[in-house]
Parts: sequence; structure tokens; C-alpha cells
Amino acid sequence: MATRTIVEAPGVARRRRLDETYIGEWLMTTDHKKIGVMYMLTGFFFFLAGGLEALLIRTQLAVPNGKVLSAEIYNQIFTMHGVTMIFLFVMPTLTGFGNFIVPLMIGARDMAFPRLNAFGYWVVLFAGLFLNSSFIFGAAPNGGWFNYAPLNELTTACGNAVMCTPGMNEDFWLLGILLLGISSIAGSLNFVVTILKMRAPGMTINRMPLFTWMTMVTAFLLLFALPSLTAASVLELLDRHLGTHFFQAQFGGDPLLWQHLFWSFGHPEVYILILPAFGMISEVLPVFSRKPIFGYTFIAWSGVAIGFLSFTVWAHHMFAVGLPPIAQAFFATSTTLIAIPTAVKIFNWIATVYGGKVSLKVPMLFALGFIAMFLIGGLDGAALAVVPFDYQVTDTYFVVSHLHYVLFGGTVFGIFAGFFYWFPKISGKLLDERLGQVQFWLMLIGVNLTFFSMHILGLLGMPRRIYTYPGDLGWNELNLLQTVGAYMLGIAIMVFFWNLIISLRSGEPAGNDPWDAYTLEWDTTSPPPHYNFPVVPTVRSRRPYYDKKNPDIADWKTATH
Amino acid sequence: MRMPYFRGMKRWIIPVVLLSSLLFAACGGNSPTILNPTGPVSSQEANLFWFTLWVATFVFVVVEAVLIWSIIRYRERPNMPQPKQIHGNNTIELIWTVAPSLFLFAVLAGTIYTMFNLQNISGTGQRIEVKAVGHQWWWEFDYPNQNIVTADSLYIPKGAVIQVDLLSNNVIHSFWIPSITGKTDVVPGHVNRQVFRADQIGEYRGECAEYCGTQHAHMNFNVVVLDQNAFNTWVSTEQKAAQNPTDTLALQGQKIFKTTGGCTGCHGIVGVDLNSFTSDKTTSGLPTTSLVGPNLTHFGERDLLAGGVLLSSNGKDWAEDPACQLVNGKLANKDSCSLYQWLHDPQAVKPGNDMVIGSLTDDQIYALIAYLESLK
Amino acid sequence: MSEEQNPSPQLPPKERPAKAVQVQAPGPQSSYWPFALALALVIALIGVITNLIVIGVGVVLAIAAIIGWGLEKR
Repeated sequence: MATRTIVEAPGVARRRRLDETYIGEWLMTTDHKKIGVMYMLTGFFFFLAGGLEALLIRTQLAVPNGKVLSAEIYNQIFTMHGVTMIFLFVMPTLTGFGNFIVPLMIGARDMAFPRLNAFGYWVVLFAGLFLNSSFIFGAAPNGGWFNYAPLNELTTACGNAVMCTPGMNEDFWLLGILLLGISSIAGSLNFVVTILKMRAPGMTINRMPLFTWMTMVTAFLLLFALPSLTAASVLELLDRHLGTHFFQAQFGGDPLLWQHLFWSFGHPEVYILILPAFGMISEVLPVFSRKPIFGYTFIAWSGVAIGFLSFTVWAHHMFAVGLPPIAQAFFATSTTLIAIPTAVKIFNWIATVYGGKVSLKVPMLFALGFIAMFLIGGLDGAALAVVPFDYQVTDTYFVVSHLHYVLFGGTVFGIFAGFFYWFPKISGKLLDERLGQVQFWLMLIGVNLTFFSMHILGLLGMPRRIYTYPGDLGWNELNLLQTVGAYMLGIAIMVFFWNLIISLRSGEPAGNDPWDAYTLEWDTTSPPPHYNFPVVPTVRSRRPYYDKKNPDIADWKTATH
Repeated sequence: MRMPYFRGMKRWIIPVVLLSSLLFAACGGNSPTILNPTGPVSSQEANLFWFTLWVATFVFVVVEAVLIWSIIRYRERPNMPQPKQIHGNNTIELIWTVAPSLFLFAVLAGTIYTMFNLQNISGTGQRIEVKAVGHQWWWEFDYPNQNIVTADSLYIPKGAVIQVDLLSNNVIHSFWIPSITGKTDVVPGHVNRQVFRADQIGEYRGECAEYCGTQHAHMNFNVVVLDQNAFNTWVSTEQKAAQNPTDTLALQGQKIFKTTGGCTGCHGIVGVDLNSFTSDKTTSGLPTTSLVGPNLTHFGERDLLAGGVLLSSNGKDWAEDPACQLVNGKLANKDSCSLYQWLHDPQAVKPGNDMVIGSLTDDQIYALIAYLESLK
Repeated sequence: MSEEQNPSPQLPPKERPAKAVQVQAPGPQSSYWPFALALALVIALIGVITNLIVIGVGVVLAIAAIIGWGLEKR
């Protein structure tokens, strides 16, 4: 059990140990805060890599019959763009936030398994380097981020596919994914145990912050979804290296087996990518509206509902593969159902803003932008559940539009909301407000400029994953527009990194509580000391720090939870 | 605190402009748009789109309006008091759980109704059965009842029910004709069936819509919808074996074609290296031999080649392509003839494709062009 | 802004007697086993595309790291 109260005592003069050198300190750390920072730095580094890949794609597609990238290179770039953004940017960054913030939020001194925590991080770093080293061999994965069989068993430029010797490309994907799965499982175990067993006295499940709730649901999703992906990857490695035939039709196997296994992971995965962002904005909106989150119970439990339902919808990624109509009707129904808890959350967030005292600082701008953009992504996701319509637009730019609205307009905006909100706590300095505003508006306009007209391209018949297109199909202007938007997003990211650098160097000191916030992480110094809290607090409501600052109108006096 | 730039009325412009841009999709022009349907399958699918779009737009406008209004009405002003610390309201939660559910279930009802309707497509005349085989990276079309094998262009009669069975012996592809029908994947080991009807004469673009390797972008096909008589004429022409050419240059071309290690290594022509259209196929329709290239028996009648990456210059058949007309046994401007480009260097046109040949001299290419154009 | 939660007598903080247990360097200790195990696993998996021997090396290192991790004094 954690030490209740800590008093620092002076040290003794002696030789420095390895873990007290600067490098040693980071290589050997098990402190959740340092590990969180490393996750976030790694995540943002791969955000740049994935963003560069995106700009290459858009430059190639800016004009018809583009000659910027060959077909072979383009196919590697678009595959790695997806893999990098999902597995090397979003997941590590969200894990980083979870790592840094969740123990502080629940009043704990660290995660339940500190060494396992560090292990999870190092695996991510090595896996990311391993995956990207494939470029050096000219053999980056090129089967798409979901790597369908039997294309994933084959090499690149080969006509009669089955008769070719496999190239290394997909092996990098498979091995990288296995490593990342190990890391995610380690991290998820840690989150589940920490959240269930290490909350401060008085913090019942129904009093813990929503970011913690969403992180916990995400951790359970990872634990139950990753086995499918791991199984699929192992079966695929066996097919490629040990002569089995799981996915090879001519020997009695079935390519669709890969799709079912992959999407059984892949669908929960997309909720894994968004739920922590839901949690982040559920923290930002109340603080910047100066009132509690509206409908805490409904938001928390709709997160759980989404978690359960996410395992029942996977074949909506497979409506065109020839499943029987009854099965398709089932998945259309389950997909429709999962839209309901999502809608409930959106309404609760808006109700939090309504009637409040809205301060439009940068974290709030991103949180509000999140709602606006995620609504679009959610609506066209619901449209994709309309099976006959999906027959037309699946595998086209309509889907590319949907996924980028929810991932960029959703998760990335959520990440920036969280980053601008918690950066003062992590570093002790404030990010520049004006640069943040510039970044926000560039991103809001850029996202819509880049991704909205992709809906139209899908309706105009443009399939996904094509390295070029002819000039006489009416797709030229929209593609050019989207490339301009993508460069605008690139500029916005540059503004962000500039902001980060100058704020780290000479940002305004933040103090403990720059936003007058409500949760426990603000009740300690910025950055927090090694042991987080001198005294482990006792919690009496959902807004323990608000209660402490406002004892007369504390929540535990007025609300019944 | 700086105020956001788009306030009040101006904010409405953004969603209105964005949404109205969707209407561009209906114009389409030359685009293979799904919103200019020419058959019952695509028109039912398009109708569902319009219905869903109305519902989604309504929800979008209402929710965004409430959001934007809340931000503007309740934005922080000096001396504004602490707002009422409301934690929730169960009644309103019930309302806004039930209301979207009703919308969603209405759309779901439309979805399931249409799904089952699409199972019953009827038409006039004879049902045409086609086996569409997805290769890397071109489409083969076999008509088992008419005993024809062709490639790149799918000829069908107007008003008849077309049944396409989808086959692959390599990777997954997807068969899609946006103006006629939604897509169905071509999965090795499965035979997916796509049934549709085309109600308008014309030519429509078809595409592969599942990433299938390097040249997925260049795996298109052409759907040619003819009236019943024109279709019957086409069938009877296609059913015949290739005639021996009479022209000297074309005869030379045929000789080059038949050279050992030449074109007959990968391409079949009935009457040259094939006895019949199906002598190199299994009963299911997949190739049994190393003839990995398209059947060229009536090549002169086609206007597309190499998976749709090259078209004849005037939309007519190769036999009548003005850019590929030989004058005194030569081409006036060889680089403007796509057939020349292909025979000269197929890898430059479509890198990574299966046609890996040694260099042919210009004279050899002219002879082959003469021969191929004679295959009518 | 933040007040002491300690319901102790109204002395200024510096003069209050320390009621707590004195603990040196609290919190989990650093360790190199996580880094070592991560490296070992990556080596093992790289072996799948290089050489069986590399898999063997990776597995041996991983076992060593797990044992070291387990026996580490905390």
C-alpha cells in the first residue's frame, strides 16, 4: 500500500550510480511521469514521420498521372502512413497521456507495475525503429495497413501471385505488429490494475475522472481485441515461413479468415483510438465552461456500452466480400446500435457548454473543434452502415474522408486539447496562447479543406489506394484542393512544434493550477515531484480539487455522488 | 481574450457551403459518379444515399447550431457570475437517447428493405451469365453460354439481367461499375455473384476497388451496353475463331506472334494456339495453363488494353484507331499510337505488370499491329 | 490558494511537528531489466526474417532478462 505521507530528507554524498546519470536516468526509469513523457515524445516524432508520408501521398495525387512517386514506392508510403499514424503515433501518445495523468488523477504515487510500464515503452520505441528500418531495405510494408491475405503472402511486382517468392515487406509488418501488441497488452494490464486497485481513499469508481474511465475501457478493449490480431499475425507468419496454408484458397485455406480475425481486432481498435480522446475532452470541457460535466454517469456508461458493442460490429468493414444477407443485416443493426451511445456523449458534451461560462482558451478551442468534427465523422460512419449505399462507397475516398474526420478531427484534436491542457502540469510552463490559436484555426480549416471533398470524390467513383488517376474523370480539382489543405495542416504542425520549442525554453511559468481545474492532478506542483503528492488525498466527490478550493459550495455538499 | 473570427451569421456559411458542395457529385460530368444511376441496382443505392443525406444534414445542422449557439451565448464576459453547477438531468437524457434511436432505426429499416429488394432484379430477354476473372491487373470476361472469352470490355445487352460470377486465382479484387451497381469483392476460393441490369445504352467505367498490388490503380474496365440486336451481332462475331490474315504485313505479324517463346507463350488466340475459347480453363473458369495474358482472338474489335490503362485514340476499336493506321507499313507518328507504346515497352506504361518481353524492333511492332488490327 | 488538508493545530507549517514517517527516495526504483527484455524480444523477432540463430540468441537473452527481472531486489 502506498505511503500515506512523505517528508523529504537530505541525501548523503557518494558516487553517482548509473541511474543517476542523465542517460541512465531515462533508460532505467520506472517513473510513470518520465515514461509518459517518453511515450509522448516518441508519438510526436512518428506523427511527423506519418505526416511526411501523408504529404508525399498528397503531392503525388495533386495532379492526374503524377510522377512524384512510382507505384511501388507509393504503395509502401500509403501503407506506412496508416501503420505509423495508428500504431506509432496515436496509440503511444494516448498511452503517454494515460501514463502521466491517470495516476495523478486518481491520487496514486505510480502505476501498479512500474517495470512493466517501462518495458511497454521500450518495446514501442524498438518496434517503431524496426518498422521504419524497412525503408532502408527498400522493403517497407506495402499491403495496406490492414494487410489483407493473400496479397500479404506475396511480393510486390509479381503477376501470378501464388508462384512468387515472398519479399520481406509484410514480415516487417507482421513482426512490428506482434511487438506492438505485446507492448499494448503490458500497458493495458497495468492500467486496469492501477485504476481498479490504486485509487485514493474515497474515490469510488463513480467518482473517478472520465479520462480515467475511458482509459480503463480502452485497456479492457486492448486486452480482448489483441489476441485476434496476434493469432492472425502468427498464422500469417506460419503461412509465409513454415508452409502452412491458412489463408491460401488453392490449398483449402480462406483469405476471408484473415479479414474476420483482423477486423475482430480492427474494429475495437478504432474505439481504442478514440475513447481516450473522449476522456480528454470530458476533462477540458467542464473546466473551461466552469461547471461540472453534464451527465457523468451517462458518459461513463456509454463508454462501457461502446466497448462491449465494438466487438459486435466488425463485419461492417466487410460488407462487399459476399457475406450472406442475414449476416449483413445483423452487422448493419449492431453498427446502428453503436451510434446511439456515441450520440448521447455528444449531447452531454454540448450540454456541459450550454449554460456555462465559456473560456475560449486553446484547450477549449480544440475540445469544441473535436465535437464539431467528430460529429461529421460520426454521421458519415452511420451512413456507411447503410449496406446498399456502402456497396457503392466502401473502398473509396468516402471512407478515407470518414476515417480522417474521426481520427484527425476527432482523436488528433482531442490530443491537442489534452496537450495544451496538461502541458503546464508536465513541464511547469504554459504554451503560447496566440500560436495555439493560429494552429487551431489552420487545423480546423485544413481538416475541412483536405477531407470534406473526399466525400465527393468517393461519390464520383474514385477508389482508395490508387497511386494515380486519369485526367478526364473530373477528379482533378478536388485532389488539388485536398493537397493544398494537407500542406496547410503541415504548416499548422510546424506552428505547433515551434510553440513547443519556445515554450519549453521560455514559456510563462504555469504554477500548480493555471486553469482553476477540478481534478487531483492539479493539486500538486508543476511538474509534480517524484512521489506525486506529499499527502495522499481523501476524495469525497467527482471534483475533489474543486471541493478543496471551494469548501462552502463543495460538490459533496450539494450533489449526491 | 481574442474572440473567434467567425461569429453569428457567418458561421452558417461554412456548413452550407460544405454541404452544398456535395451536389457537385450529382453533376459528375465525365465522372463515374454513383449519383447518375443507369440501372435498378445503382438507383436504389442512390436513393438510399439521398434519404440518408437528408437525415444526416438535418442532424448536423441542428446539433452544430446548438453547439455554436451555446459557445456564443455563454462565452465568458467580464463580471459574469459562476454558472449554475448542474450535474445532469435524467429526463433529457432519455429524450436524447430515444430521439436519435428513432432516426437511426428509420434509416436501418430503409437499409434492410433495400438489401432484400436488391436480391430480386428482373429484366427482359435472356439472362446473360458472365464469369469475371480478376487478374493482376486486368479483367477477363467469359460468357460460358455463348462460348466467348474476352478482356477489358464487358459487353451486355440493355434491359437484360446480367449475372456476374467473380473469380480469382491470385489476390482479392473488387468488381465495381459505379453507375450500374455497387461493388462486390472477388475473393480467391469463393465465387461471389453480382446481379444487375443496365437500362441505358452507352459506355460506363468499371474499376477494381480492392487494393491488389502494384498496379491496382490501372485495373479498370469498360462496360458497353448495347441494344439486343447489336449485342447479338457482337456475340456472333466473337464466337468465331480468328481468320488468317490476307495482308502480307499482317501475315508477318502472325508469324512473329507464333514464334516459339513469343506471344503465344502467354496469349491465346482461337485458331492459332487455342482450339476453343475454353480449352485452357478449368470448369470453374480459372486458367489452367501458363496463358496468363488476355485472350486476343478479336482484339481488333476492342478499344481498351492492359487493364484499361491505354485507350484507342478516338474511342473506336483498335482496328479503326486513326493514330494506329499503318501507311506503307509504318506509323506516321508512332508515339501517339498507344498500341505502339505498349508493344514497345510495356513496363514503362505499366511498371510491374506480367508482360516482360525483350525489345522488339519498330518493324516487328508494325507487323504485329497490322496483325492485331486484322483480328476482327 | 491551496490549504493544508491536515486538520492539525493552527501553527504555521514550518513549526508543526512532522507527524509522518521519514522515507528516503520514495517511489519505485529504476531498473534496466525492462529495457533488456524489450531488446531481447526485438532480437528474437528479427531472427524470424534473418536467421534461426538470431531467434535462439533472442530467446536466451529474453529468458535471462525475465529471470533477472524476477530476482531483482525491490
